[in-house]
Amino acid sequence: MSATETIKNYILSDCRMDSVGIAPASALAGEPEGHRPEDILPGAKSVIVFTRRIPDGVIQAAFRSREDGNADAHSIYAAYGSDLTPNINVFFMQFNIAQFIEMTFGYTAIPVPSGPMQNVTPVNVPLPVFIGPKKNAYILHPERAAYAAGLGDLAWNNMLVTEKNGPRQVVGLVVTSMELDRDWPYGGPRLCDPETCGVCGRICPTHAIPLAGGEADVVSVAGNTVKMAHINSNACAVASLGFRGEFAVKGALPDLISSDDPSDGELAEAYAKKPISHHSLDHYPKHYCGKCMLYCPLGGWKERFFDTGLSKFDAEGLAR
Amino acid sequence: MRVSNVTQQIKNFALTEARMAKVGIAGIDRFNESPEGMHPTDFLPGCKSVIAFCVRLPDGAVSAAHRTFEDGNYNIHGVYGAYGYVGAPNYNLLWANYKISRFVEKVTGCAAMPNTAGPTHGAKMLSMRHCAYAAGLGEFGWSSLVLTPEFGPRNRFGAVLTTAELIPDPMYSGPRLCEPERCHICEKMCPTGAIPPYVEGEGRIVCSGGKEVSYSQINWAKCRLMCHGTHAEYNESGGDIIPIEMDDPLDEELGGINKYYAGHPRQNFHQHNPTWKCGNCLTYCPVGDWRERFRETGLSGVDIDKYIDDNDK
Repeated sequence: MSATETIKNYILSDCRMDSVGIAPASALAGEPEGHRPEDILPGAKSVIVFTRRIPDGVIQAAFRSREDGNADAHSIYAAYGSDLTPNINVFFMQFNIAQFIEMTFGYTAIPVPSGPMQNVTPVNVPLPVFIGPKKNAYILHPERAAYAAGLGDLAWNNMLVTEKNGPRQVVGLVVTSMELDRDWPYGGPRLCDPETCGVCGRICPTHAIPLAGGEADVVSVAGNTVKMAHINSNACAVASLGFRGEFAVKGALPDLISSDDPSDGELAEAYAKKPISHHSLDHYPKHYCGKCMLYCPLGGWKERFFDTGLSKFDAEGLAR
Repeated sequence: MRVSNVTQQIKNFALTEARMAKVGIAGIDRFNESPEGMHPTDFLPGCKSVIAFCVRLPDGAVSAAHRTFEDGNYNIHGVYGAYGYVGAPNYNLLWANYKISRFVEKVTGCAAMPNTAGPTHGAKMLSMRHCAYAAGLGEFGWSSLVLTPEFGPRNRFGAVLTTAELIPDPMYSGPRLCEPERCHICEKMCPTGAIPPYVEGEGRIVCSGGKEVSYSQINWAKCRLMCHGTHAEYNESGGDIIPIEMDDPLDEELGGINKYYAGHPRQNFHQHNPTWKCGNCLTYCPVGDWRERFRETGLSGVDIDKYIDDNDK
């Protein structure tokens, strides 16, 4: 078994990830300065990317709260589909994978957090990662790395989408000085077509995601050009972090921002007034929305959620 | 079951199931010189053995600190905090403590007490470094960190106390790891001068297992200036949390640190008051093949050898 296969097997079996791919560090050389693999690890040769799907049962817990008014069910989505388990699980697996590579092969490997403990200036992504009013960004963009490693396509809503799970997975990264057999960027048919779908843009409660034809970012990843929506991160924050009472699922949220498109100053002011949640490990929970992920029709959504009765929402009708 | 079998079973468990990098056992007699309130029996009456273990820090996580201080890439320092300090290493120790204590109770029938290794400890706790030293995992460096021959100071330690009488490991007796008479790297790399120059007889004396060692009396107030990121470039406040001209503060002059971070708990999830914003005494210590692992691989460009007297390397 080759070293690449050994590492991939470790990630899929010991670390129980659902998919793994490898991009050469050069495939992400077009990322902004400070956010390229070589900036993170001098001598970087490979970027190992892996995903863990979010269980359908967890996703449907969010439908119970949103569609049935069962507020108690929302905490299941928050714990297993949003802030807690997915991020923490990937966080520890990244540590284990780096240890495995260094101890087994003697190369250097750096785990790259995509949730806790980032302190990154937002220059490489319009999406808010929401670590405080600074709206921190990614050290290395996980979705673009996943695309470069062949794990899936980049969707209009800026998420990694796969044929199997749509956008309903989390992504982890390890950069290493070890040269591994590369995978090729996703080369299948474009999974997301905002011209004929547009569910994410239509369902976004604060219009953070423009409809097809709206403002877009064109990024170059692994030699390919991908067009994605330019997300209004401040608008996304209003819903995701529950800055208005209408986004509360359980308990009350104060109305701190009336606009759907607040300025940076208004957002920072609202943050300062926002009560700290003591019910969550994440004191400023960001699980209040997630609709662009929850209702994306990719990944067999209709068969898994609508046809099974788990959701009453006619996403395809909305698309039409 | 024979004590030797049980001891080996516990050590095997620590190295495999709990995924620790090293494990050693100290008999309770090695803590005879412990200060009052800091003896293992103050935490577990009847304690007879201390099982100490460590998780190594990935070189990649350590090198993230080099990117900050050598390349000015402050964005990446969170990787060191997450995977080289308070995040994954401490939580790994937390789970390992829990698993090992459950296993010890199962195979010995005796009480086993896990110790907190970061998360949720709100008190002065038993020193994990002293437990590691007493269990033969390594020796103290001048920096006050315990060095192992394999990883230098780039490990974090945990310990389970038990009333079971296990077979102790010998104290570390290999080649001397830290030579502060001639190596001044930790002192010179400390940005705030918290680690004093070596002066014979001026260190803190530690007695354990018939051995006497000394390490530096760190100026913790100076250490906190950097570890908490009080200067503008290391925090998100937009300025200095402690005035930069205050370079030798008294403890009581550092209240601004807690006040600032208490008001901004989200920014350093999940340790609200970050202590990981420096680490130079750990990341530049030459013990544990630093040159081969960091300098020769290009991960660090710092010539640490200039801080070693009569260095023939």
